[in-house]
Amino acid sequence: MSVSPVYQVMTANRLTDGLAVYCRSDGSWSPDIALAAGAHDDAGREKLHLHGQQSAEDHHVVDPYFIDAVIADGLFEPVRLRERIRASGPTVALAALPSQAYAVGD
Amino acid sequence: MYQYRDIDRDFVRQRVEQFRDQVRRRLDGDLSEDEFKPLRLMNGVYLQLHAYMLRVAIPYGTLSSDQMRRLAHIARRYDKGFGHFTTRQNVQFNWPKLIDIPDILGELADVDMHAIQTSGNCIRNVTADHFAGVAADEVDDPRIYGEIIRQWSTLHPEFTFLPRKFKIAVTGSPADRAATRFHDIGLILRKGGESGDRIGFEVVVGGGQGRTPMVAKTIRDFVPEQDMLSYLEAILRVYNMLGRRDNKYKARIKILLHETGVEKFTQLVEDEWRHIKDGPLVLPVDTVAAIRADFALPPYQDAAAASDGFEPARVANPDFDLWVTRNVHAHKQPGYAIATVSLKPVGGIPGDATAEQMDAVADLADRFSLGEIRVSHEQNLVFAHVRRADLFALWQALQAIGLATANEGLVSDIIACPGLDYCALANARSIPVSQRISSLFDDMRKQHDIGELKIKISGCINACGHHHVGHIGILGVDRRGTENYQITLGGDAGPDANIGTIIGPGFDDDGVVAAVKTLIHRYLDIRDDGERFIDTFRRAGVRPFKEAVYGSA
Ligand code: HEM
Ligand code: SF4
Repeated sequence: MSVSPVYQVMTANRLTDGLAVYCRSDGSWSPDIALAAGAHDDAGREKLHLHGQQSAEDHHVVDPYFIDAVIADGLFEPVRLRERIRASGPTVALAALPSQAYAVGD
Repeated sequence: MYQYRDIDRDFVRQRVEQFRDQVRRRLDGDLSEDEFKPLRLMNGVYLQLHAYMLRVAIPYGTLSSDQMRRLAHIARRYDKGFGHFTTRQNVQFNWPKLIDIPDILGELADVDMHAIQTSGNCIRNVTADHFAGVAADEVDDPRIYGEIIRQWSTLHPEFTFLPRKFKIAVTGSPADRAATRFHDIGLILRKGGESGDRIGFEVVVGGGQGRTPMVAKTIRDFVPEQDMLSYLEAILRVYNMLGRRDNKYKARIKILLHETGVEKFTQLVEDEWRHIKDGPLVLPVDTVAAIRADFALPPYQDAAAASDGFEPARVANPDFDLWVTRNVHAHKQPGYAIATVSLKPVGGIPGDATAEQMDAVADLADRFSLGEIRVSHEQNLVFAHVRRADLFALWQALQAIGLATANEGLVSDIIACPGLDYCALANARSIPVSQRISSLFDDMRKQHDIGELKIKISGCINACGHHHVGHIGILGVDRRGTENYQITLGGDAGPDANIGTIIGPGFDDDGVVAAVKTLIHRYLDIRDDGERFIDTFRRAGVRPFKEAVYGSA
């Protein structure tokens, strides 16, 4: 597999429900990292940074920050495990019943 | 259990409306996150990896069936259908929306519950022995004192902005099922005084886990009941004045005690106490009596009738017998028993319960345990008033909802914190590791043969999963971007309080599961008759275990 360059993606938690969201190129936010904008140069980062600042000031999101992501299978995939879990949800099922709760792995 | 008076109810209602207004102002943009964060934390609202998290207090771990039903309703209506019972006898919801939280708090207030002081640098929800009031071995019911401490500490103006969070635990039993020696203050009920028959407390201070684990030290052998609050206030006052505020990692009372020395610290407390001892904090006898009355034991049946059919059912049903040997405990009242409902199905998520399970547990509590439920710090539930004659029917009903696992205190009864699956501070996942370890021995008889073994897992050094006090403790760390797990051995949360020692380099996730298996096999090979894992470890030391895992190089 070819190694993609590392992009910076702007993420935050949405104020109303706390969900992890990702900044799109128009400055709107989506819970789906696949729809995020990725920056790979200073100009791109600056633009996303300003979007993040503005959205925090406008009380749409909380604590915006950059994460590193690569493109895998045509989609952004965060580099750090923490951010992969944040983007795709817990790696364990959501309920206590043993049949449903067994680890679904990475 | 304690019945809310009008004053409690009014206060909780006011608090809900106050927070509703704060949330409205945050959503309208009148409050910044920096302004809002301390306000939400005071109401138990965290922002986690995926969403907000709401931590609801279950004071000293006791709740009614109606309260449990309300938790089920909240899980269903506002969350994803489940809740997580924690080592601090709280329940956490992992997916509430901020816009819904005022309504959730309103729903809690309807059943006399709240989320106040479940976070922040204040006196947190008081914890107690989960067998309180009914344990055959207890001196007195710790919940009476837990409730008095709740009333005193709630919105205590002097102690709302302490250097750091502050946790108090009370036990009435020398068996110390409340890990009192790992709290900022532990109160151990005992009889003493001149006549030797007055109720009072041994006071231990400065225990804790986190990055600097410490066992609490006794600073007074006996504080009489009437002086409980003045003595607590003296300790808190010394801490509030001298505890460090410049460094959050050195701000807990354990560090103050350590740096000051026990003798000097005790002297400071005693000096302060002398000033306030005979003031307004003296506990009035009738106040204690009124609260005691709330916790009075219910009318029990005659012992013989209460036990009908119990022994024959045990003999006829080996699986039931297995459950009784682990999950059923001696009760004060002849003919009655305490039954633990395991929230640790093999391969499940420690402490999680679905809304359906919560509802079913509430119904079973009504049928079999006088409508009352306990939450244990080991993340299980407890029915405290079961007629022995009903145990078989209870067990059958629990089986039907997947909650009859006969594993209390065994290898699969693992404490695990939420870890990297939920927690913003985590370095590594805890839950999947606990699921894999609990699945190592899916034959319950094998687990019984291994015997008592406390495995505790935390996803970072904050130690919410109590790994320092696990017989086998597992700590998740970040090793150059990948999850790595360190093993400690020999920890103990009970009366023989001890902090485990790290046995060597860490492992990846497969490696840690394999290492735990190896440790258990080594124990089985070298144990003497009747020895538990911890006994063998104490006798043989760390060496045979280390060799088993790392070889004898
Ligand atoms: C998911 C959100 C959580 C956060 C952000 C969090 C944060 C922390 C932090 C920062 C500490 C260390 C405090 C210190 O050493 O000064 C700590 C300790 C602790 N937490 Fe948590 N925790 C979380 C969940 C839990 C859960 C789910 C439990 C119960 C299962 C829990 C129970 C404890 C306990 C027992 C300690 C150690 C005792 C002590 O020394 O205070 N926490 N937590
Ligand atoms: S121990 Fe660490 S990872 Fe686990 S819940 Fe506590 S803060 Fe989070």
